[in-house]
Amino acid sequence: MTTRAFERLLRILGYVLLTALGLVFFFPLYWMLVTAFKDMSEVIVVPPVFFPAKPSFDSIVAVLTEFSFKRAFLNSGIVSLAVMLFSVFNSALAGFAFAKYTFRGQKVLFMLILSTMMIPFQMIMIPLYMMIVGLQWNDSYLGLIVPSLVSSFGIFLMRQFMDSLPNEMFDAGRIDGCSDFRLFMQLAFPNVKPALSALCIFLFMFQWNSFLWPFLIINKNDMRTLSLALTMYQNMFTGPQYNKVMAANLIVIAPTLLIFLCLQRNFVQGIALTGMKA
Amino acid sequence: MKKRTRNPIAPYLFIAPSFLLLGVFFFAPLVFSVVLSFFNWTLTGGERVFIGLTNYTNVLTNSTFWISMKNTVLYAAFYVICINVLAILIANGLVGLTKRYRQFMTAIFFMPYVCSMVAVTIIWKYMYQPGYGILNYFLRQLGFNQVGWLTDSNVVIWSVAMMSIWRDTGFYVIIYIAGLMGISQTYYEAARVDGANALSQFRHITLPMLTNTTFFNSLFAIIVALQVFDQAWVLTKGGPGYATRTVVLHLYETAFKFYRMGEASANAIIFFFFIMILTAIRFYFSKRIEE
Repeated sequence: MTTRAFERLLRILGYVLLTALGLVFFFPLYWMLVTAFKDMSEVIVVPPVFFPAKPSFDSIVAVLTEFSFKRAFLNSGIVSLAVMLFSVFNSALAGFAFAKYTFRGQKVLFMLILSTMMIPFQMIMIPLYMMIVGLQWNDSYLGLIVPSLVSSFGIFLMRQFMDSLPNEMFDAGRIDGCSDFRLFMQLAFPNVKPALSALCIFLFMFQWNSFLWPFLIINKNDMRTLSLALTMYQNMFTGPQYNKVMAANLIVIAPTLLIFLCLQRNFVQGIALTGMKA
Repeated sequence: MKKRTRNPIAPYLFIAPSFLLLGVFFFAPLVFSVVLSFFNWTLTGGERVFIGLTNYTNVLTNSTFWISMKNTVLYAAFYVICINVLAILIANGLVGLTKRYRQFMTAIFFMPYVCSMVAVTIIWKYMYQPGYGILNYFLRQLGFNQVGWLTDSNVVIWSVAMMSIWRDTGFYVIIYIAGLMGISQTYYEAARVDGANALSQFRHITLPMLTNTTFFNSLFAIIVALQVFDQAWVLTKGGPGYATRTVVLHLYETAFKFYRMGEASANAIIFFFFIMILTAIRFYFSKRIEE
C-alpha cells in the first residue's frame, strides 16, 4: 500500500475512532437526560430503556416543587454571582496594579499571590472552618461568599492580560490628567473584555459546582447550595427513583451547560491561555 | 517598561482589598494551621496543650492514613497517565478536523467539565449499579461478566478514577490543542518532503514539541488528583471498607467526625509537603526548559 493510501486510511480510522469516542463521552449525559424523562417503571428495568416510551416532565416538576431545591438554586445563584462579580473586578484591579505599575515590594507581593495558588485548600480548611464558626458565619451567605472573594488565579490571569496593553495608551491618559482609578476604569478594564468574560465564567462555574466548603459549614436545610441539595436528594428515596434524581441533576447542570454552550469561545480561550502562559 | 506613577499610593490601594481578604481568610488560617498541629486541640473539650510532634507521629503511625495514601497515589497515577494519553490523542484528532466539526466535537468532550462533580458522580452511580446499571448491561451484552463497580474493593477506586477522567479530560484537551497550534507547520512540511508518514511525524515532531505542555498538564493533574474528595465521598463515602478512602477523606473524618483538629492539621501539613515536593519539581523543570 502506498504511503498516501495508508495515510488516508489512517485518517479515516482516526475520524471513526474520534467520533466513537465522542459518542462514548456523550453517553452519560444522554443517559441522564433520558432518564429524567422516564416513567418510574422504566428506570430500573432490564434491558434498559434507551428512549422513554412516553417522555414526561413529571420528574422535573416534582423536583422543582417537592424539595427545597428552589431555595438551593437561589442560594447557589446568589453566592456564585456575588463571588463572580466581586472577584472579577478585584482581580482586574490588582492585575492592573501589578502589570502597569512599579512599586516597592511588588515582586514579593506577587509571589505571595502565586503561593496561594500552590497551597491546597485542605491546608487552611480546618482553621478557616473554626474561624467561620467562631464568627457565627456558618449557615450564612457571609460564610459562603467572603472567604472565596479573592481569586489568585484571577489576579494572575488579569495581570498577564493587562501586561499586553500598550503603555502609550496610559501615558496619553495620564497626560490628559486622568486619575489612576480612571485609567483603570476607562482604559484598562474595557480593553480586557475576553479575559474578563472567561474569568467570569470560570469563577461562576467554580462556585456553582463547589462542594467541600459548603459541605463543611452549612447544616441548615434552607441554606444549602445545589451541590449539597443534590447529595441530600439522592439519599432521600427509599427506592431507586433515579428519574427524579436525574431530573435534579439536569436542573443543577443546566445553567453551567447553557452558559458554556453560549460562550464557548471565551471559555476555550481562557483555558488555552492558562496553558500557554504556564 | 513600567510606568512611573504620579500617585505612588495608587497601586497599593488597588491591591489592598486582595491582601486584606487573603490576610484574614488565607494567611491567618495557614499560620494557625501550623500552630494547631502542635497542640492537642479537639472540639470535644479536654485540655489544649502543646504536645510537640505527637500529632505528626499519630498520623504517620495510623495504618488507615497509609491506606488512604496508597489509594490516593494509585488513583492519581492512573488518573494522570490516562488523562494525558486520552487528551493528547483526542487533541490530535480534533486539530485535523474542519472548523465546524471541530468546535462541535470539542464541545462534546468539554461539556462534562462544566458539570458539578456531585452531579457527575450521581450519574455514574446510576450507571455503576450492579443489576440495572447500564455499564453492566453493556458488559453482559458483550459476553463479559458483571463487574462490582461499587462493591468490589479492588475495582471501586478505579470506578472513581474512570468517572473523574471522563469529566476532566476536556480541560486537558483544550490545553493540548493550544500546544499543538503552537507547533510550526514547516516541521511537518519538511518531514513530508523527506517521506515521513503520519505516525512517524507524530512520534518525532508532535510528541517532542508537546513536552512542555505535557509537563504542565501532568503536574496540574497530579495536584488536582491528589486532592480528590467530592467524588469519593458522594460515590461511596470512602467504602467499601477503606477502598476509596482518600487522604482528604481521611483528613475530613479526623477533623469532622472525631473532632481531632490538632491531628487533622498535622495530617494536612504532611499532605501539603507531599504536594509541595511535586510542585517544586515542576518549577525546577519549567525553569530548566526555559533556559
